[in-house]
Amino acid sequence: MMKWLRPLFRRSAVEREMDTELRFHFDQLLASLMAQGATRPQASRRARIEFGGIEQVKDDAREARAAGPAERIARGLRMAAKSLARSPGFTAVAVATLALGIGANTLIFSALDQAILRNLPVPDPARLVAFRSLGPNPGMDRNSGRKMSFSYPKYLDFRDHADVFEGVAARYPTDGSLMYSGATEMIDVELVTGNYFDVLGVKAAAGRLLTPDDERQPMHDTVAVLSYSYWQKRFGGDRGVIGRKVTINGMAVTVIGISAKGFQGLERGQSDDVRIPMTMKNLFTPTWPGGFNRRFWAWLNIVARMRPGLSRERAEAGVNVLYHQILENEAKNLPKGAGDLRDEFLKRRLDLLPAGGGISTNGQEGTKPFLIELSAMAGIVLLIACVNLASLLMARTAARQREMAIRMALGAGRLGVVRLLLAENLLVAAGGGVLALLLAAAVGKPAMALLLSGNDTALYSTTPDLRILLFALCATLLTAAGISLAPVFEARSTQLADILKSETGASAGRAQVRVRRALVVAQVAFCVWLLMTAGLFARTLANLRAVDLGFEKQNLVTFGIDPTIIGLKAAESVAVCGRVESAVAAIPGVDSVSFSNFGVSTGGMNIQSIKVSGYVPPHPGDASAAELSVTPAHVRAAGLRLLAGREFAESDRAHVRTAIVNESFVKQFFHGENPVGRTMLDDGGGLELEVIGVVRDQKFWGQRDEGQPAFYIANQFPAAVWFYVRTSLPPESLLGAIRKVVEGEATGIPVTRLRTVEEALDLQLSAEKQMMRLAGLFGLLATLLAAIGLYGVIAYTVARRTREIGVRMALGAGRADVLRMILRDVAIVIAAGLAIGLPTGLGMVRFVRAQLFNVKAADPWVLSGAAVAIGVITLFAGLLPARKATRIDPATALRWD
Amino acid sequence: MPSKSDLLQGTLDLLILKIAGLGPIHGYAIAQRIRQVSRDALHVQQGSLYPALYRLEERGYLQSQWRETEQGRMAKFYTVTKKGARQLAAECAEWERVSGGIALILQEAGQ
Repeated sequence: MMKWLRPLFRRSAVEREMDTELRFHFDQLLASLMAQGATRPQASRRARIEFGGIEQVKDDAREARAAGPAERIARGLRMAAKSLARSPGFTAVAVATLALGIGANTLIFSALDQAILRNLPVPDPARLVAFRSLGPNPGMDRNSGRKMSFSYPKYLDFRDHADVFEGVAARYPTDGSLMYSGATEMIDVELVTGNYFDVLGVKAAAGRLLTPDDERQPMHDTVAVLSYSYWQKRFGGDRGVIGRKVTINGMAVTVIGISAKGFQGLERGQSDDVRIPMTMKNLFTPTWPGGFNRRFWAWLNIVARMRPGLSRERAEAGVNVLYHQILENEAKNLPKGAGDLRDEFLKRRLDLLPAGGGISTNGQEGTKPFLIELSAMAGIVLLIACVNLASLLMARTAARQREMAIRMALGAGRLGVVRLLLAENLLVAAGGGVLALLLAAAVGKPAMALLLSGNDTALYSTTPDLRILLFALCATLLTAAGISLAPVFEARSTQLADILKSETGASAGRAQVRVRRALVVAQVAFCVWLLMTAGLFARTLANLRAVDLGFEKQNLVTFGIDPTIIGLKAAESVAVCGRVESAVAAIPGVDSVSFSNFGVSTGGMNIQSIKVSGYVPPHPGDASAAELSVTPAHVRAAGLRLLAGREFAESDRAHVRTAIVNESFVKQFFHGENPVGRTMLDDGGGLELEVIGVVRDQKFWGQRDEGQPAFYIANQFPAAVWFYVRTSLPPESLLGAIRKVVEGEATGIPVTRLRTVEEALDLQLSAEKQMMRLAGLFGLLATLLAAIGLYGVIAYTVARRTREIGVRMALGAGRADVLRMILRDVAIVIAAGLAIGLPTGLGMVRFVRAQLFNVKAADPWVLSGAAVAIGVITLFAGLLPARKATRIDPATALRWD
Repeated sequence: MPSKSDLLQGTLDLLILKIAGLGPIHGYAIAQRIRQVSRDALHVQQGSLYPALYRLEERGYLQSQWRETEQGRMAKFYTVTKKGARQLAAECAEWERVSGGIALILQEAGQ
């Protein structure tokens, strides 16, 4: 035990000794008084008077025992605790306010930390890079437009010849089904190369991981690695599953191991459940089997680990030499008709993107921007809470000025008083911090689910780790420093004589009111920011809901099935879809049914390069359009609006020779002329098509979609399909019947996302809804805090001016005059807050502008709405003490003191 | 408050050291002795006495021991340490010097 700490532990013994000693003294005093002839009660009373307050004596005695630093700090904190205990109301409010502020920040920071800041749990993540190459890619691209997909032959070139890397791995994420002990469920599958775990540096939690040897095994000997969280979720962490067979997409696969705990996957904000060698590809891609030797099928994401000591720029320069050679080779065999792309094609370069924090192949940053905004809002609320606390503390300090003055008169010393105040604030902040952590631990999960609804909350752990604790601690200490500032400053400037001689502390009081008023002005300004944000998102939401999506979204039900995931062959799969179609059509109340390879707001669309005679693309390779495979009834079932020509007939299905195009297509490729009867070439699919009709642009990606050139063809297609069921009944009422029918026809195939289209579209707005809800909630909370702050200041002003108001009323001022006088004060504070808050708010909302829709930051409705809401609430808060001022009775006020 | 109970800062320490220097003595007795010897001119409040005792003990001028009193109760007895005795001698000399000076002024001024 360190010597200077010892007194802390000896404390109770010392206290006991002191008790005994003082008790002895008291008893002696009593005895001597009784010896002088006093009765026992008399003696006891006199002894007590003479002795003085025993606690005070003890306090002073403790103080006198000059002690080591530890004990002195402990004593200071003890005194502060005692002082706080004397005003439990203040302490409770202060601690609770802080706990909410810090709690929200801790929680949001832990989500933020996991979503963005944290690197993959692998050694040396800074050396991981992901490949991207902009520019034209003739042929098929199985990934959304971020140009992060590559062909398998290209991957091999990099793996075998790029010497700037220690290892190069590839992946293809897809859906699948897993059956184990009779139950089937959808899983996220990642097809990976055998060196995947090795390149990333992920270790096994149990069993072993994939090796390049596993890639060479024949299909029936395939193995799989489960992610730790899926192993926990599905198998309860049972080690016995290692070595067992599970059925994945109809194929028996042996589980060989579990990947390290904490490794969710490469894709930011997503987790893959099962990892399988690339060789299993055909099980998951029955519509485009094989392709391992196709140079122009881009489907793989590539990640690589750079050699140690190599910068990303150096590695990029090195690998591009190789990449150019690869392109030169490939350019010799460009697909038919892509010859005009040659120059552009050869200009492609390879970019190495940092991948240590995960990659984002779909261009969506996931929850990142949302979380940043969330933490900004939580930060503002914490700021407002601190400001309120500072104001509260100032009021408390003012009320305690006499106490402080007396302490100083008794020789406490200025430093001692400042120390006491600091200690009190530290205790409040620490209490708030601890309570916040408890709060985060207790309600973290549900709160996170509420905040991130619509996102995968399972990914976010809410157990605060060491860094979160540090963060909370920092927040606490900063807060302590922040709220200490004002009152300590005040305590320093306290003039003893001033306070002891006058009850109002005139000069200090006026300065204090000024500072507190400035604080309220700041609060009002912060509230403006939050309410403006809420208002802008409310407008955005309304605008988005009103968007014409190019099809009838009412009375429409959608769901998806994928017969191939239980291992059905293409022909069987087509048959199942056909059976489901007729069975659903037979449900009473169903008007028409169709299915398509594209689902409402689910993404995943084929972009095909096309040729239209008479159209010359401005840049070679720019002639491409979305190809949607549909069944003939689709125009009617999905509610597309036919502008010209006819819809598909059953006969169009047998041989695909016809297409329906959309408005954007007509505008871009037919210069706006009526295209019905003209022909086009589907390059990727090798189809010559006659245009038979034109439909309105359908906003495929939801409300924010700009519309893009697309053509529909009526063909037979297996794999994942999305059904469109049009009804004249309320669509919700059909959901149960549809599920029953589909499950009857497609046994063992999971039905996914069965819901009304309106619901599906609304789900897409969940981010905007959340922003609106949260900004509104935070805004109201902030406004409430500001109102309380304003109330405090005005009440204090009124109390301070009681005598002045009394004089005024005695001299003939009416109640209305007094009311006007006080409200003028209130109005000035609010107006100043708005004057600062509105322009700065316009600057702040720039950060969310990308998420707004058809609404300007300076939207007059939003601005005036925020101003009015804050004005009314705070004015009301100011009105209460103002009314109290009008009830001042001049006679009483003047007699006061 | 009558000034008779107010003691100059440091004076109380001097008195305590002087009295405790005569032999082991507990807090109550110190208060009594000061009162008796000063013929009721000086009253020491408990609120001043015990902080002073602890302060002197912390500084190493006093040491204490729990012992039985004549009435058979346990009490804390203080004795002066060597360091305390040196301090007492120094403070006594200082007191003589200062009080002598004050006395001189009072006499001179009176004339």
